[in-house]
Amino acid sequence: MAVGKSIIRKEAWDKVAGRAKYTNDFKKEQGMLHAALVTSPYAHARILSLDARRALAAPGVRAVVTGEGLPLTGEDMRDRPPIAFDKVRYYGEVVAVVVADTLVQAEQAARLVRVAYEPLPAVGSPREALKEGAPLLHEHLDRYEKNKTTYPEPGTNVAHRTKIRKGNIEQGFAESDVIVETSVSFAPSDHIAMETRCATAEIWPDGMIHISASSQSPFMIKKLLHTYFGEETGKVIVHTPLVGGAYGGKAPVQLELLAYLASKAVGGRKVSVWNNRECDMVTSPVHIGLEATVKIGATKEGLFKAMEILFLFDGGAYSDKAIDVSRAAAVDCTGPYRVDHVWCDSLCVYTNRPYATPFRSFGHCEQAFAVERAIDELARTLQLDPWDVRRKNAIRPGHTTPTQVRLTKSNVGNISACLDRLRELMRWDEWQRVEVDAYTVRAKGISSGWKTSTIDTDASSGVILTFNSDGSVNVISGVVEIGTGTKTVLAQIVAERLKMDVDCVHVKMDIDTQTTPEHWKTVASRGTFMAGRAALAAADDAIRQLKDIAACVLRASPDDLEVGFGRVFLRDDPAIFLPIKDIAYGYKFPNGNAIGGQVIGRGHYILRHLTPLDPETGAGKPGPEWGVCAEGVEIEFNRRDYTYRIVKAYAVIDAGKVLNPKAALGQAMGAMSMGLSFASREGFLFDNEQRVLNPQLRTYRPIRFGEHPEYIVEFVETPQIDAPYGARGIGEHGLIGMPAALANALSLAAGVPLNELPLVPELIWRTQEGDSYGSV
Amino acid sequence: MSRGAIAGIYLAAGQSRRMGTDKRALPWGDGTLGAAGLKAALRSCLSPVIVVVPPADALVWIPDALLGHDKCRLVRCTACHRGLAHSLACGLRRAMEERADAAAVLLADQPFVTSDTINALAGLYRRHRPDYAAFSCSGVPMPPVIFGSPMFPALLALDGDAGGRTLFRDPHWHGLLYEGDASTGIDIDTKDDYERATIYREEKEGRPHGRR
Repeated sequence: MAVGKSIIRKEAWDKVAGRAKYTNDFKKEQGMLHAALVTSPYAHARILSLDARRALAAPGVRAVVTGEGLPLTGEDMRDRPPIAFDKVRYYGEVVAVVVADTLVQAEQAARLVRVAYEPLPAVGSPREALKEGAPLLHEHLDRYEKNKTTYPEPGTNVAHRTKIRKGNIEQGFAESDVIVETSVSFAPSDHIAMETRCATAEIWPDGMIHISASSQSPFMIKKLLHTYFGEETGKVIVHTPLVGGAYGGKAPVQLELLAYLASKAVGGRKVSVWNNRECDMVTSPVHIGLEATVKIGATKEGLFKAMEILFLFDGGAYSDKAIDVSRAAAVDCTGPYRVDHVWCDSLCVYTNRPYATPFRSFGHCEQAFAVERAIDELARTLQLDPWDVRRKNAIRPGHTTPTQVRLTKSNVGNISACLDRLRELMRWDEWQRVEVDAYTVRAKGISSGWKTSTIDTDASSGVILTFNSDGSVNVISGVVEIGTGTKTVLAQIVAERLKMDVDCVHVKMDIDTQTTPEHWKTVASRGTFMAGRAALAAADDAIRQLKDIAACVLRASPDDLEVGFGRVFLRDDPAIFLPIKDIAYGYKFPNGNAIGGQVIGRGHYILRHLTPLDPETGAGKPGPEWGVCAEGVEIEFNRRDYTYRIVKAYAVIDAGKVLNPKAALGQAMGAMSMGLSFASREGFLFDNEQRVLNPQLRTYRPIRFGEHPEYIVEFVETPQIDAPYGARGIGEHGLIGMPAALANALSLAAGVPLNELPLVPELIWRTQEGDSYGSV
Repeated sequence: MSRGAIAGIYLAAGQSRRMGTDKRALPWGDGTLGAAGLKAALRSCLSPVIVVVPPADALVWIPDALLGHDKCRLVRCTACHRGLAHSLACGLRRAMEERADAAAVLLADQPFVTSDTINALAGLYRRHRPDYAAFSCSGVPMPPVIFGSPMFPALLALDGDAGGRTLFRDPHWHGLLYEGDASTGIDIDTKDDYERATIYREEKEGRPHGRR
């Protein structure tokens, strides 16, 4: 009825009409105070003194909050002071928060805060950070509180190391005819969500803490305020309205803590902390950087025998979510291929760069860039067709993943089918590189991708359905509407199960953690799966209640009844029925007696059989299923000036089951454009002291209107039996293969291996002409 | 001269090439542009304050009260046309004669530097004893900057228009940087700079400015 249809998003009209409200739209409240952040102009420096006297004396200023005496924060390991104290470790780090009556006053006073710094040598990349004698970012790494699955290496800049040991790597290489080693790298970049991060906090006289935040993790904010500051979780209420793009950047908790601290400093008054674009790009967490080396051993037919992979993730100054990202890449390190002998070390390394956090695909477009570049290099060495090599090694049910999970027909998508379809769509066999004229070369590149979600083993999701007196339903779920349309899909799932018109299913868009059932975090492409299962359970619960009441009224067994089309009816004779609206609030007999009451369906879902990874071998079950994709890019390269145009971008994604075709297409294309933008244009430029030189959209330039290629997207459907109607997560897969596919196409066109991002013309020129041209 | 004294070196020997006229003598509030920073230096804890000027300077830009101040020392630098480094060396040699333990370099075209800023910088220098302590804006060090005596030989070795900036980049020297807002460090090189600074000063003083 509703599943499989392109239902228009429930919030679409509000968004296109400008009525939709985001966190910062609620701020024009009387009496609300505003915060401005004082940030560090150094990437690594000791704070010798901080003098806020002049700022405090400035007009309208209520408080200046500094880092003194604050607890350390961090999700896996608590290494980050919410406001820097003693030392700054990245350019843009917050050193003080000025709270004033107006934003202008706060910003003016922020300029009056005098800080004396002693600059320290800054560490610029993971490899530099691992060198002997490199400056240490965290001298007391051994003293930090951490969870049981985080393994820092004190005395070094290693925040965490994930080890994957599968099979016998020596044997694998011994069985190989050829071994190809490829190294890739890219610097941190940013998510560039349209809505910058912001949060407000207010502490009421009764001790209730009210936070509003543009966040993917409202429930985590609640939990962390307890962990860090000892606040009772029941006294923390987090409100999250619509979120204007998140892409992983709003999963970590940062400004919320500042808003809370600021509010505390002004007697609980409401304080708003809102990032300007520059702060959003460097002060708040960024897209992780990577240096990686991939060694593939294969037979001369191109059959993979062994993969040895070293990921050095640039976690930046603090480990927060970067640990998790580095682990996620390790878990799926090989890509969707059968590899019997795997050795992978994935390190989350501290550097003096803005601290990192997930970026859409959570470590997987990064992993894929490394491995898929290596596969193309292997194919080139063996003079084999790169598509053929991928197809030959495609992982299938019965094979095991790098963490030794045995794959089934349900828990992995069909990569072979995706590759086959991609080959047809791209007309791969017709040509892969053509010289159009003296200067113009057209070339194609491909990549596969896969992803499981490394999320907490006890992550759960809940849904409540309440009925209205007209028989319509309200869906209340903790999934944040970050622009993915998940909440509309939940309405479709509920409508399908209740066999009702989707227009009669209303969705509560806002999150209020006091009344909304928890959804762990809106991350990892798990919204539809987990909340969808919870929604089905809630619908079933409601159906049972409706049947119970109707059974009593109709004097029939509940087993003989069906719910659908706004009615509860006798299966045997649908002419005998009760309208749902007559029983949704209980049933009132003609004599005034009543039974039942408001029907409230409840459901929840918790992931099954997940385990942490073995610290030595990595064996374990990190996620419920592996979604797969095969992607391609077609470019036109100008050999004279090294510019290029992305002509077409292809994605074939195993969606399990497409629940909403237009929405799915939007998700895939949006992800593809992000991947291409990241790969072709985005990346922070650092000077020798690791200061970010381009924290603004004038100099950090994402893909713009008019620069998009033609997007060609298709879906394969291999149902995941566990998931609602078989649907797999599709919010991220469109992105995974894009960087590698683009790099593969350009490498073929330019005739040199291009192993760095972003793929700007200058990089291609440098690679081709050699590195003889020094730069500043 | 007591140990630990910080001398001021007030560099006023530039040629105002980009201004086209002697910028030190331009009107600034009730006095001259060149006198504004000097006043702040003399009011601060720096002692003595060595004013480096060209050999034939008529000194019209310095009010007598400042010239006659007991901390004020005038140095006429014959080599000043050879560049900033030479003016600095003239001042520095005088500071060494006066047995200063450290020297604060101040520019005559930075009228927004206050005695508070200088004193704060001196306080930080005394407390932490770095090789140098510089005022900075967005992480870029600039005058006023206090150089400790260990750096004097390196400063004397500078040539041409090289200032202390070349030394900031040398990892051998450990600095302390006193981060403040951009307005404090404004220096005035051109007519446009001067006009903008005048408007800014009037705004700061709360006086409505006539459009010029």
